[in-house]
Amino acid sequence: MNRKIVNSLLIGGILLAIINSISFFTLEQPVGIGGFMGWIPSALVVAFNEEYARTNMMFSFFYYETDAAPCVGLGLCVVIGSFIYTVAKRRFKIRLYSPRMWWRGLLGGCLMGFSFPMMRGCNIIHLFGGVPQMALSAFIAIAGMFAGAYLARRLLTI
Amino acid sequence: MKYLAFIIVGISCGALFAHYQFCFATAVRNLIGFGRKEKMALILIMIIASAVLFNFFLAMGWRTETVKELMPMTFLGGILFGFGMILAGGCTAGTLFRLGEGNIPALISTLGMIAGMATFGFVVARNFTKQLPHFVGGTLLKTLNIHPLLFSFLVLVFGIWGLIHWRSKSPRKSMIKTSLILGVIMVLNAAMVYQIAYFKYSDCQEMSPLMLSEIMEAGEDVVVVDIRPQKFFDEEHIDNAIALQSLPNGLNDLNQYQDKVVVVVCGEGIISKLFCIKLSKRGFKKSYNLRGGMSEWNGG
Repeated sequence: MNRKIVNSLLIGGILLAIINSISFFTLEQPVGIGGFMGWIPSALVVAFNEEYARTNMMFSFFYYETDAAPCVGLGLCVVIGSFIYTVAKRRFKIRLYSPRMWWRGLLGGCLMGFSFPMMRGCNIIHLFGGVPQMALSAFIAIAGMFAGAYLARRLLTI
Repeated sequence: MKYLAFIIVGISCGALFAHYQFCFATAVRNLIGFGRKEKMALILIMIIASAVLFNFFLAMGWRTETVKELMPMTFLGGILFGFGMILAGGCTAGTLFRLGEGNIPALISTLGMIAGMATFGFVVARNFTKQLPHFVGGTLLKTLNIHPLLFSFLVLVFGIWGLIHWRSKSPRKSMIKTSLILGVIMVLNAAMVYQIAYFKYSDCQEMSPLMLSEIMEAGEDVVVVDIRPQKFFDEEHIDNAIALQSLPNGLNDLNQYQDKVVVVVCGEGIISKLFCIKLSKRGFKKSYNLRGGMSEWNGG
């Protein structure tokens, strides 16, 4: 790797760590964005059948528990931040790609969404919060992710 | 204030993710498939720098751990996630920042994630009323009994060491020089970290002058040890206080008070804290430092 790339990666990594630490210090939680995807179905269930939502462990957690709130807000702000950045850099463009990519996105997204509650969080909360605190759950989840990615590389033709 | 932090952290993350194309799926795919390490290096740098800062915050008591519980299905969840992220072409961060860039498959993937979570809620979580089965979440630091401050310091030193080598054009030549410089820095900093930990994590508790006077007025059994030079003790001292300087065997003469409340006094309450820590390390169960020392006792 040449020095320019090394410096760029170094600055990027440190900047992300600083933002992560600001989140840990002010929001009392490391950066985590998966909760955004859990809050939307929870809010819909609450709107249609609040009693059911209260008795369901997952929906009640994402809608009523305060420690899920930072993930909801951060997820939305990440999309906005990325949009502002790409517009500022004049890179924003609606890209449709092929229908095959749509199906893959949907299936992959469903698998990821289903796995969030199984891991107690998305990959970002484990990478940004679990591993720096040396949490056993984060190491096991990330080992699983590598195994799953290896399997996918073997089984799928990319 | 909290809402402002939300916005700043979220938008900064989004911009940084978009700038560096931060995506765990891409990092893993590049590493496994093509042997390219740049993306994984970015993640590793972020983890190392976060580990230094987080563990420092935890050690100072500014924040508490936010570790997720370990569940019987954590590994299986990881496998599903790993498979899904390669299939979708992006992890959670990769999907969300690409959505901000106008990527339609990322939008569909986001909808898929929402559908996946809803499916879990309706199919699996409805069978559990309170919480999914889990073990108590733990950290390797607690298991191995490593202090967060020490860990933070070690990660910092080894991170700098690795960085110097990584950036160096001739790593082998600079290895001895770098190791020597870092060795010296490590020894100096270790002494400093030890001192901070010694002060912060000792069993010595503080007692206010008001509380001491109330205890003494109530006639409770309390031993006041004045560690100042004899000259200052003779000028003024707390009633019934013992002057350490006057004890023939010094600290050993205090052993008889190990089970009693012992309050250590000095001029300003700073040196007495060290002495108080020393007492607690020697087995004194109720050793206290008089906050502010004689100056605060006299109303200064």
